[in-house]
Amino acid sequence: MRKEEARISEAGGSLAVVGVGSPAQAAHFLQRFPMAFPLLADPDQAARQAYSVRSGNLGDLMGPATWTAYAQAIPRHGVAPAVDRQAAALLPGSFVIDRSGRIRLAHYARSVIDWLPVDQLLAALREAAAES
Amino acid sequence: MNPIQEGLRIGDPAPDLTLPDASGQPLRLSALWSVAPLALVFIRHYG
Repeated sequence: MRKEEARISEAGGSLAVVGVGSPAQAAHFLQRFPMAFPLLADPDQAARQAYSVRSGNLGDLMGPATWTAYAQAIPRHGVAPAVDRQAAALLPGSFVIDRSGRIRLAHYARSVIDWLPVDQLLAALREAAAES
Repeated sequence: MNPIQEGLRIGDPAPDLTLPDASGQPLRLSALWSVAPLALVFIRHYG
């Protein structure tokens, strides 16, 4: 995360990460994955709903893309990564918002491992930063 | 796979909410994006 944070700053942007849980749970997460940008708690999923970031269903969890990536992760990690049912039910979503509060990029994940490539995020931040 | 319902589109106003950070301090999203373009990334459960 540290490396990506530096790249986001270099691009003239900032970052906020939103996870479901209490501030105390976010603080615990921060201990394991330290970051300089804000880590926000969304206990009742109000932010997820406002941004229409979906919760997955069993179809997403069992989808071929998910399982392919899962299988590929096994040799990398040595063991199968744990699939937490609750965690797996929340799909990622990534947005870039410009200084006037407009959406510049919206990426809705199709599975739990469908992350927006960092380079695309950085490109959108750079573009927005150049205009502001 | 189900069709993806994509809520927000490019050019839409971003919903502005106030969320607590890891120390419990309330942070308003617009206070972040008004300073610099913001990458807002939704992850999973913290717990």
